[in-house]
Amino acid sequence: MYLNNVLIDDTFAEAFPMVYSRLIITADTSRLASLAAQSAGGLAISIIGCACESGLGEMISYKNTPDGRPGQVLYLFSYSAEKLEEHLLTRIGQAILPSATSACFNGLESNQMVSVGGKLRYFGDGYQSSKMLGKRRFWRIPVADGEFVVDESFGIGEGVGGGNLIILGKDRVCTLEAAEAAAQAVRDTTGAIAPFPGGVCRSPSKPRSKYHFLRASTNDVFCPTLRSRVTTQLPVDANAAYELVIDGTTEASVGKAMAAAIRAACLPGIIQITAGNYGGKLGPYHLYLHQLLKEYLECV
Amino acid sequence: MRIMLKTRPDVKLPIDLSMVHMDDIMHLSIKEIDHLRVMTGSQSANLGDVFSLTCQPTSDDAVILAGATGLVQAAGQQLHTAKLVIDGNAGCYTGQEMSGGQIEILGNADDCLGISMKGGMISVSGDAGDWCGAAKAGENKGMEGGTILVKGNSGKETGAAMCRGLVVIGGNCDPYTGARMNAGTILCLGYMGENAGVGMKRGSLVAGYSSSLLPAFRSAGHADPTWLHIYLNWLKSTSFPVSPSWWQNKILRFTGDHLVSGKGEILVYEFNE
Repeated sequence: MYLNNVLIDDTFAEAFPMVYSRLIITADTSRLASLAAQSAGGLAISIIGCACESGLGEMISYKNTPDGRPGQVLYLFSYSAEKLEEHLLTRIGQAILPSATSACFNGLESNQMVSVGGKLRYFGDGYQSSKMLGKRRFWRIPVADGEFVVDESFGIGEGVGGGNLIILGKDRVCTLEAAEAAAQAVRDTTGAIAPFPGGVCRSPSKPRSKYHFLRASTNDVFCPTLRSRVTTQLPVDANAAYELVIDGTTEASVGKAMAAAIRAACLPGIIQITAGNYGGKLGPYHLYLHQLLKEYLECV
Repeated sequence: MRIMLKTRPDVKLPIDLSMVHMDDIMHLSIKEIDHLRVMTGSQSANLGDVFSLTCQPTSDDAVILAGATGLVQAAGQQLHTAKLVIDGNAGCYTGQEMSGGQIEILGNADDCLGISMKGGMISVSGDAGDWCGAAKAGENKGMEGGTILVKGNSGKETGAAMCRGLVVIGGNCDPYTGARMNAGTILCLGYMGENAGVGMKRGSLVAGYSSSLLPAFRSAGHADPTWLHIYLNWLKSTSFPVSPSWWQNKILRFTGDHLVSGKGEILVYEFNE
């Protein structure tokens, strides 16, 4: 299948169940809300080394946030609810709480809720207080610019992680341009994130290494400088590759994001778009590129 | 299904509905409802003697009280899930000890509305009397949850000894609002009368304007309104009338009652001594 003269590989991306949380971070201005969210996202790039993957979601108008101030959505993904709870506590406590004028609210109703504000409240050293609205409890923690307001509990949902695309192009410049366009398309898809820096990964990995102490190592089949030493998967004219890893709140949101990313990446200089998988033996979600394009982009 | 209970024209004495559980009524036949016992004056009677009953098949379940509803006391006592609509004024002790469900009063509410309630929602289109959302006489713990929304004014000791929950008064509150309050939130969008918060341990009183506070309340500068805006936004979403100035103006904050614990607060938008 070709899209804008770019070969779309007849393959699939293998994705996995992950858990996620959706935070709504508000502040006096959208810039401050965004800053707080970016800080909280921080080093949350890959589940391999960070145990958490994060990405900014949509900006929310002041009309639709609990406290009537501009809001920024932040998604956090992890492999277990326990690990996610740890990250929620650390990231909200260490990055959002100290951010000027911020407040943090739960953005996901779920049957599984974890106590976050209920633990952060102790930072108030006895001067904290709570407010209840219906069944929802907020904590008010006194800080130097007023109060930090945070939901007591945050929801944990079941999402999908590890959707991926590998973009192969003639050179670094045009391949990066295509990858960044693809990353923007992912950001524009509700419920999907691309957790790598700017959404783009320049170092796709394979889940093994010749060194016993490493879980993952460089994916040599896509490294242009190794094409003469390994069984390369780079086409003859391709001299660069970039990967996008895509997580989402549902399999559909990952699939939709992948389809949008493929379309956005089909730019001049791009030779092929493929995806990574483990033969279908590890992950229960198999996202076939051709099927995604047919389903979401009405391609034939 | 909608069940309408309309007072008979010859009813002149107060009717005590404290023995009638609105949740149970939805599952009874007309004949069974007719034979439920109520007190009228000092006499016991069948419910069917003082109310005429009609049933209407509808998609939503509700019990509707109509007629001389101001004579009906303790309607919705211990309500748990049902919806009760009072088409007119509500007598005293309406919603007493309710733990869920919804009561909608289309007129005014008499004294002791929602007394000792634990959950659910009461909304009043008119005014409320004294001891709205308060504790029973002699008790130290009052309202333990739920929400009371009164579009008009309320009488004295609104939210007295409150432990949890939310009371919103769209108009003015008479004196002693939040007296002996343990916790919870009372929003008075109009004028909050004298001696508000006397003996309060914790909790929040918010006043549109006030002219005096007790000496045991200390000025604490301006309030951070984030938590209050959450409440105001929620109120707005329920179509409760809230002036836009509530989001714009700064709020003065006072802590107290310092003769008790000093952990409570009174927020005032406009303070005119």
